Amino acid sequence: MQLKSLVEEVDGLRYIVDNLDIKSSVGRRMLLSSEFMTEVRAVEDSLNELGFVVNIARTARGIYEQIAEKLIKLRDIKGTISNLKKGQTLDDIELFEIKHLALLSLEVKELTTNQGVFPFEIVDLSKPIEILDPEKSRIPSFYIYDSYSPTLCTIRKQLKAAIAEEQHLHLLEQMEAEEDAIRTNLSEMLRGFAEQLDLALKQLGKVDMLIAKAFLTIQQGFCKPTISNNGTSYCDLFNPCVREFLKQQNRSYQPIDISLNKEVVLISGANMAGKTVILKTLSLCQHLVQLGFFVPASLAEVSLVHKVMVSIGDAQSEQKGLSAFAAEILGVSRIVAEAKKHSSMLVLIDELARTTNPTEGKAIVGATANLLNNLGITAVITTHYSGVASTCRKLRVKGFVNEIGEPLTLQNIGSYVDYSLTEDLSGEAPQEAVRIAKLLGVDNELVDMIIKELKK
Amino acid sequence: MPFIEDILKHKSLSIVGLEKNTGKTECLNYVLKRLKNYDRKVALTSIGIDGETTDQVYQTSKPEVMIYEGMMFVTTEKHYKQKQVTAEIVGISERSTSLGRLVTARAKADGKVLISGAPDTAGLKRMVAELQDFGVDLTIVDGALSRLSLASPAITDAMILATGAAVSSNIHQLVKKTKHAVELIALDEVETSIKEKLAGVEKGIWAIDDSGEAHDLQITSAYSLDNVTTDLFRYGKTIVVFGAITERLLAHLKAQKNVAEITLVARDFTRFFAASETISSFIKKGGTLKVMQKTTLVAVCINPTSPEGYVLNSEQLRTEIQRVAGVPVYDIRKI
Repeated sequence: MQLKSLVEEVDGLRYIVDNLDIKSSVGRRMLLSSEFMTEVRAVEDSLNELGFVVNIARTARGIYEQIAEKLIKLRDIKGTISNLKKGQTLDDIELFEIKHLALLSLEVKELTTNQGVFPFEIVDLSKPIEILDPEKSRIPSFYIYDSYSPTLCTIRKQLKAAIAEEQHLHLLEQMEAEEDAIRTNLSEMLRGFAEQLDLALKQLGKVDMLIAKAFLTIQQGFCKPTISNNGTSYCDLFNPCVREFLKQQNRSYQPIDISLNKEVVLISGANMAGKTVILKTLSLCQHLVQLGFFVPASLAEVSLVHKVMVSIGDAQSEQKGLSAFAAEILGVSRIVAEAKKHSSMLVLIDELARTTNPTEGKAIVGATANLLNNLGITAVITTHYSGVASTCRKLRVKGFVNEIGEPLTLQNIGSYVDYSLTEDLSGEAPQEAVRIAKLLGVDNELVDMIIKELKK
Repeated sequence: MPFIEDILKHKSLSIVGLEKNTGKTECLNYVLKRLKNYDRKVALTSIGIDGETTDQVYQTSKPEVMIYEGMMFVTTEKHYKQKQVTAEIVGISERSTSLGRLVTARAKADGKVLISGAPDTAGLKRMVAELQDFGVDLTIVDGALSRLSLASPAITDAMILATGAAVSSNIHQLVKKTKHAVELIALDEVETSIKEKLAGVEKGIWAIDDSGEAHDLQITSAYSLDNVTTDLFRYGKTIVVFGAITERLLAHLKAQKNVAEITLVARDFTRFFAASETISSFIKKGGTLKVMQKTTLVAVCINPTSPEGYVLNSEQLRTEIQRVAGVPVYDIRKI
């Protein structure tokens, strides 16, 4: 899977991509073709490269700003390079593109000499530049220069002096023939450097992408995750998109700590306790790591998985004509089938069996949790139900704080929730619905009747 | 050398024909030939696909443009490859047109080129700005006055209008049509404050209230004005239309009781698609027409020969148009 397709599927990934200030189409192409990596080595290499750039960006941002400025001029000429490789004679426009790329690559290379600015060395293109810049002007412009051939030079002089139309046309033809011979010759000489040109294009695209990723990492306060075999844990985990949304309303985001260890974790919590956001953030982070990004946390240890499977209720499947329950349970069945094939998965299920009655719902949650747990799957399942019969680890969102100093409204309610997670040994979901209803000022009679009903 | 000095006062100039075959290219060639004797950096570009080797309507051959050593030009890849002159490529656009990307080059000798260019106004504006970055003093735009063209030549500081027998073989009709075009070009520009208020807006219909505030009337274009009972004047009597000024819109406006208080603002003079009679009648009844973007007409060039081969009396035509144009009128072949 490439970022290109994941960006449509993974909640919050679009926000990350949109906030990357990539300057060139080559850089954008590189980014969107980032693979979801499953090999530890590949992920670590990728993170180390980014780490290198992030470290320099923290102390010497200016150098990257200069380079990024230059990369605005980068053009995607992979078609031209491919024509060169195929043995075609390039036309003036293509030769110009190659010279333009070579000079740009040289400019970037010159900015990076004497200091480790990138974790790799920018390829040396001085030979192709020599071929395409016979006058050594170093200006990114191109034509078939007089200095390529004394014959050409003579024809052009005669052409300038020619007055008769017929003679003029004749000389034009001669000039074109000579120019064509030179183009063929230049293309042949350049062919030996096609691989280097290709590499230069990729390197500049990568540089563009890395700088943008590093700047975003610093601006958002992401951290470099450690790749581990012993489960996944995050300190101060946050969701960048939700944080931004809250910030615009002058509200703050409460980061949370969470650890998962090849086991199923059941999270219970009151309504509005941020359980769905936790799942979405876990999915986002797993993708970010395996796409070569840092993650929104202060500390992160992540185990790689083959696949992330998510069941978070949305209207889409319901629009397809399936009932909410049918859509959900079929989704869960797909997850179970996949889990039986390979255990290296991250499964995230929101409010499992929320669309059916509590008796059966509880059974569905318990069975799913136990089945996945026995398969050794890392999973997080959020639920409303109390007393789920499962030996799985249980966490609870702390929920409403005890001291509430003002009348609750939909606007301020978020400030009275403690979103952090705590181990829940009782297995009882917090009975906070009535309290919330009361705090929200729901009709007194209704609240009293609910309480009476509960006491029965 | 008439009107070249006038041209040099401006940073950009478009040459537009009132119709096809009005001698626009001949006029362009004349201007370029004269300009080569001045120590100015000149660049040439065009709007859209204007600049085909054969005229698309009449199939008459369309002469290529002669440019001179040192001049810059911008054309599409397809036409660049057909050039008959040695030229040095200095830039290639990232965006592509139907004829390929735009190539910016500098002529290393005198020779013929086919010119095509940015297909829309924003692209044209950007191109003129980029050429100024290359140190160009004067950019000449081979323009088109067509409702098919998305790019408006009115973004240039100055303009030369080419007219001639191709418009009408009846001198009276020809003069009348030319006069109408000249009057539209001469329309006043709106106050700077309104331009600032609507900076960046490119479509829709807007109203300006008495305090100078702009309000979006939530009408996409005059074509979608199907229910003319929509109160266009709920904010104020100044209406700015970014799209076409249609016959129906103007007919509706001139029928209003308070027509004398109405100011209708077009994006530029190329956006008027109503009949000249309707426009005149709106003005006669006291309505005011203005434009967001004005260009200065520096000359009118006439071509007395029609594509069918009909030839009008050059001097008579010149004198009659001179009488209504208010700017110098030339028959390029006679200077």
